[in-house]
Amino acid sequence: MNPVKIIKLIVFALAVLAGMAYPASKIIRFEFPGQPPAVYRFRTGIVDPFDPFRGRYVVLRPLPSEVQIPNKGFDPKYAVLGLDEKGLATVTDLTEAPVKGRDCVRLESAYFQNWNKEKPSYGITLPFDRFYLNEELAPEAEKAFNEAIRKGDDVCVIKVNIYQNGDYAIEDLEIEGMPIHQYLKQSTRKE
Amino acid sequence: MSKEHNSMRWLLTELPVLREKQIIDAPTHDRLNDHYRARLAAAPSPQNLWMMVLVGLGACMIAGGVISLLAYNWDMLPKACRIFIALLPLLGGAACGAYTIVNDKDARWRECSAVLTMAGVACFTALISQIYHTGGTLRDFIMLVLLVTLPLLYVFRSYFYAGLYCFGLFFLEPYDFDLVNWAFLAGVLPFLFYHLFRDYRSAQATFARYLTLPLLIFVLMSDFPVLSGLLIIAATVYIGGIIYSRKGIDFFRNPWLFCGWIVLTVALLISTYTNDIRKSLFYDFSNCQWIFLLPILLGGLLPALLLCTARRNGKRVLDNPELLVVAAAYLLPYMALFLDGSLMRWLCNLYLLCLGITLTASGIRHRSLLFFNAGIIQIAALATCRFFDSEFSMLVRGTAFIVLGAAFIVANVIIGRRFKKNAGGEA
Repeated sequence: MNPVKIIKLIVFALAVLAGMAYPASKIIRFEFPGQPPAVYRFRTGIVDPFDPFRGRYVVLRPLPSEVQIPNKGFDPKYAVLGLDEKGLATVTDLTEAPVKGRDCVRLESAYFQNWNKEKPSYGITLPFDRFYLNEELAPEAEKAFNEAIRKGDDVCVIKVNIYQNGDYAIEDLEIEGMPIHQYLKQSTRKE
Repeated sequence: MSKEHNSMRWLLTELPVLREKQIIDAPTHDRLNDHYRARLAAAPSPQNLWMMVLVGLGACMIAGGVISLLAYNWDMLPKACRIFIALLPLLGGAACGAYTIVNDKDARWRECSAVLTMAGVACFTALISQIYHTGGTLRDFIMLVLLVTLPLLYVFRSYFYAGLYCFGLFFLEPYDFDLVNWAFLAGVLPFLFYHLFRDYRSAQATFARYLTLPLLIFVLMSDFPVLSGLLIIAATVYIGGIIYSRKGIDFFRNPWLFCGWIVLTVALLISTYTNDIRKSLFYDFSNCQWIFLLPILLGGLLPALLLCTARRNGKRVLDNPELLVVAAAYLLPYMALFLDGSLMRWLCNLYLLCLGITLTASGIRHRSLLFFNAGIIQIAALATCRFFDSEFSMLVRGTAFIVLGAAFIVANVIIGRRFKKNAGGEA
């Protein structure tokens, strides 16, 4: 084989490997973490849009979106997670970096709201905003959610694996304590 | 392309006849034969070009289909199985690419390999994100795909990949232009320059000329001083278009000529209209990044460069005065920094008039109705704009328009006949 061909093959192989590198590193981080992830359940709202590359999904509006703590004097980057009395996820503190020994998640955004002097708070956006479903199930999920939400705001939750480095992977979307696929199957049977 | 290809083939069949009749001698025959056979081999035949376009389009459609099929979300399958399925398009693209390189396959295979590998990377990245329900913006996703697949452009010399890459650039939020965007833009430039300067008659050079236009729009969408930039870029593109036109590149293979002309004319017309628009046209240079000033500063040297080149080639500058007049557009943003608003407005009027007259004269000199009409349209557009500025009655306006229109048609007929007569006389 001539040298030009060999160089082309090497460059091509490197390009293919580079293309695999990022998704592969993601798989490794999620499937083989140094420490097993902590599982949290967040209250959430959902709507059903579309992504041309990744297909149908439901947009999640995870809660809490507001944390009542005084002004920190810096731009918070991470939310320290805890559990409320119902066992659902809540944010106990906002920090600049992950806190060792505590479960943290990197925030999408955080801003201080000083309009209420008595109850100063931060408006936060948690990063989990998408749950992918196939195109037949996504509209059904939105419909099921709209019916279930009348029973209370804890009925729809997302189950999220939180890793030590602040990474996350959504494991499932649950309505009334049931995984979404199971819930939709059951509601179809009832109809 | 087809005409040129057929002409070369015809000439090759004629060479033995010319030699037999002793019009050319044996060494000349051999030299001509070698020269045109080499050119014929280098230039893909029209059939092959069409085939390449169809195969490229097919590859793009297959890639789109695979992405849609996998984006359906086969959540009934186990996770490991879905990860493996997500990897399949990339493995397919890699196999196709390796086969193409090892067996030195033609352009059709190269196009297929580049597009399928790019789609494979996009698919794998997107589906892993889908499987783990992680977020991420479209900008980050496109950036990653463009970055890791850029070597495919040079390994496979793929025109479809180049087109997709340029399309992808528009997802990098050009309004928020930074050095990263410049770096991505720079990635495709060697490919474009290579094809622009290697053989300007080839189909590849035509493709490169077309591809530069969206790239220039990409640059203009940044915080480049928009209208000043528009003038300078339009002037550059137009100069390129005139040079290619003088080298015999026809209208449809030379998009720079029309695009440069229309954008330059419209930008100048806007700048001649009011002082307010003049202000927005030549707005504060200090707001933009230093890197945007570079082409403007370098552009100021273009008139001098053109003069030097013309002298070196032993040509009189007056042979192509329109090049110098167009290049003078580079000086307008500089002048706007020092001149008063209304003075600048009248200078732009004068400049557009000069440009129109020069083009009309050039059209007559080079016997080109295209240039002649381009110049006449510029003068007529300028006159029309000034006409609406003034307080003439409808009667006067109507008459003037009829006279202008009639003059336009008569001038075309007269010049057209003159060109025909001259051509007949020469024949």
